[in-house]
Amino acid sequence: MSDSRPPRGRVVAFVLLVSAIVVAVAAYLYVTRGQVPATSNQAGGVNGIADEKTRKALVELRREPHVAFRDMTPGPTYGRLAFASLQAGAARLFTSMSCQRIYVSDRAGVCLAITTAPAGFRGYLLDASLGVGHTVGLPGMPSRTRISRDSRFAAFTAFVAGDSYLASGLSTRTRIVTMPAGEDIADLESFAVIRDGKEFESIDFNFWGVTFTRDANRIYATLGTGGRILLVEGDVAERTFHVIAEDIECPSLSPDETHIAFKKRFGKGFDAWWQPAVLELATMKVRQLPEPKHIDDQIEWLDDAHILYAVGHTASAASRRSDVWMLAIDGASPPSMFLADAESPAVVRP
Amino acid sequence: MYPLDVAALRGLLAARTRAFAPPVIARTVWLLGLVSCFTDISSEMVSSILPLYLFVHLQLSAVQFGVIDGLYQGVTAFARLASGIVADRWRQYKLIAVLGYGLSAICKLGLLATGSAWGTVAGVLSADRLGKGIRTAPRDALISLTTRPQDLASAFGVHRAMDTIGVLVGPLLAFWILSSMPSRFDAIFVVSFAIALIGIAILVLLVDDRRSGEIENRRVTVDLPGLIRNRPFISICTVAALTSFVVVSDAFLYLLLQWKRGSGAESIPLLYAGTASSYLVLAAPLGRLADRIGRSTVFLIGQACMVIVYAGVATLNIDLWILALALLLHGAYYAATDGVLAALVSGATPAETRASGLAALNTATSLTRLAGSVAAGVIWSWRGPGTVVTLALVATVAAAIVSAVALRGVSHKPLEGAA
Repeated sequence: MSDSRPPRGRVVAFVLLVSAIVVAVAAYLYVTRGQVPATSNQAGGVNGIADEKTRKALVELRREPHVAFRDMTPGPTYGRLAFASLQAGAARLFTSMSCQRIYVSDRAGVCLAITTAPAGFRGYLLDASLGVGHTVGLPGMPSRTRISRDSRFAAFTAFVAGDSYLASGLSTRTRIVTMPAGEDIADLESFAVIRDGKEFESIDFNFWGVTFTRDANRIYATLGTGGRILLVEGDVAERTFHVIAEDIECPSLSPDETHIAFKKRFGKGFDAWWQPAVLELATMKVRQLPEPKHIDDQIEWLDDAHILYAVGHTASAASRRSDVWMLAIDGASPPSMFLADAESPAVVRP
Repeated sequence: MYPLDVAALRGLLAARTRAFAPPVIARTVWLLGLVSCFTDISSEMVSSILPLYLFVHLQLSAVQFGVIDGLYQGVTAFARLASGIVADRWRQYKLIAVLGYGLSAICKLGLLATGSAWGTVAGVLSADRLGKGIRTAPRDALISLTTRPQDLASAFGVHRAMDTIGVLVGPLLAFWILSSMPSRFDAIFVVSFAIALIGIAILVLLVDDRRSGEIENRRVTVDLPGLIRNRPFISICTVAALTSFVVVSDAFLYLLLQWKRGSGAESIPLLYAGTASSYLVLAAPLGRLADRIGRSTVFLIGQACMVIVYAGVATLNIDLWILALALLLHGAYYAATDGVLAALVSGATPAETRASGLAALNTATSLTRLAGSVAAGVIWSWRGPGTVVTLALVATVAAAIVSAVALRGVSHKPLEGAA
């Protein structure tokens, strides 16, 4: 093989081509800039409120029952943590915090977000005034998060790519920390799991989707193992889980603690989809609900009789849209839209 | 008085000077390094955000991702082998490499167009991997055919270092785009495609592939039986396959380290970045060292690095410093083996079957790496991580002994006429 200098003509062609490529990419990004937020959340603890007027309005709003959510309106507020009262058509108050997953209680908040340096994901633990109290690293992309009712603890689940024996398999890791200091309480992987009175374990255990009871020490969660989905009830202090049901995924306990709303899986493999359903704890009976649409995130309760959940409705590479729907758990009425262009709803009743 | 053997002295002197003279890294090698750097920025941009795109943005079900991924590996292995043989047969290294790079580049645009159906997404991803399988062997053949035999490991070292820059930069760029433009995966795919195009432009316009007089520009019969009868070549491939079977995959090593530390808080991407940084820094120096003190020796040093890592995981408390040292040694293992093996194979195969030989090396190592990961997974779930560490340690020591014996017959010097 020879190794001579490339001819001048080719070098010129190369320089022209690279210039054309750079111009074309710049043009593409300029033309599609409409969806780019005016300000974005940079890592490192933004106190999420843009101005004094918004701050005052937010303090006022948060005295009454309200909903916190991830705004999905195309434009500058896309992806931001936002608030609204429970009245239909209520005005939205936006923070400047950009999050992937959100949960908020009356005295705390969690914002799981994408960070650039290092390239990865973080959880911002928010105090009562929505300032960042602590930042925790996440091992992979954010999945679920919940805060205990007394605002003392938060649980969050992240996917861990490569955490399995086929390098690109996906597994989950779920931690419980104090709020908002972020001290480690438990990694669910360290819990003993008891099924039919006997302890069992397997390396492919994956836990996700924690929901807290009023007594923050008692939790429900999902255990996935060997292709099966199990509902487990646990004691955080004792580090134990008991398997109480099968095929109940991503539980969410109602405020009166009588029902668990969950995602019911249909179909197999790549064609699988999930619909909302409800488990009555007194009878352990599952009620299918009149909602055929696919849901992904953990379900939230509006009150003891209604659930809220996000439904995605466009999925191109350039944008993702999503609305939050409301559904009565008696299954008597069809779902109705609760918040257009929103996801990750958290109902707060101070 | 003894008659002074001037000729012998002169030869000795020349040999010494040669040994200390800097290696000659051909323009083509630097340019191919740039091509790989751009291509890896492009592909790592996409692969670092792929789980986020598939499972959060498109909300696809994650159920069988791992299984399908294992199947793709098999397809890729076949493509690697075929592309090497075709490249040798038609003497079209650059053309075949361009096809591979091109296929992967188009797949970045393909991701823009697929929407949210698993079938099409999986098709695009498998085409992307196919492209990677196709380009590797002819690209490595181009590197080896433009390099002096005594500088082969240095040249591969330089190429692998430039390649690794892309591995480090890609994820940063992707996450930067995503954090400044939420949900704009289209921007990532477009930028990734553009960067891949620049890589291809370097390959097409700037890399010289006019053939010198040594190999005639015509279709030739590839002497595959000769390759199989080639004892040193078979020894090298066997040793390489054995090593990638016993040295567990990156993901597994990180799991073992996390298991020892009892913490899941460290982000796996950060551990990958640690290994890649070490590899980046050490690839060229260790390649150079291999050319000077012997490629087999440096290969054995690489295995020794992994023996130390496993011994450390088995016996020590892994604090931050030891973690850093483990990642440094892990990177050193790659630096002492990956490019060095390519140089060993290049030195042991005649120019006419160079791409086929390199393709066989690639195929053997990627298949045994997959098999090793599955075996480690089975052992982990059966006996726990402690047993995985012990077995990996014992097996790596055994592999090093086998390698030392098997590579004894492999001369450091290249074959006559190989260039």
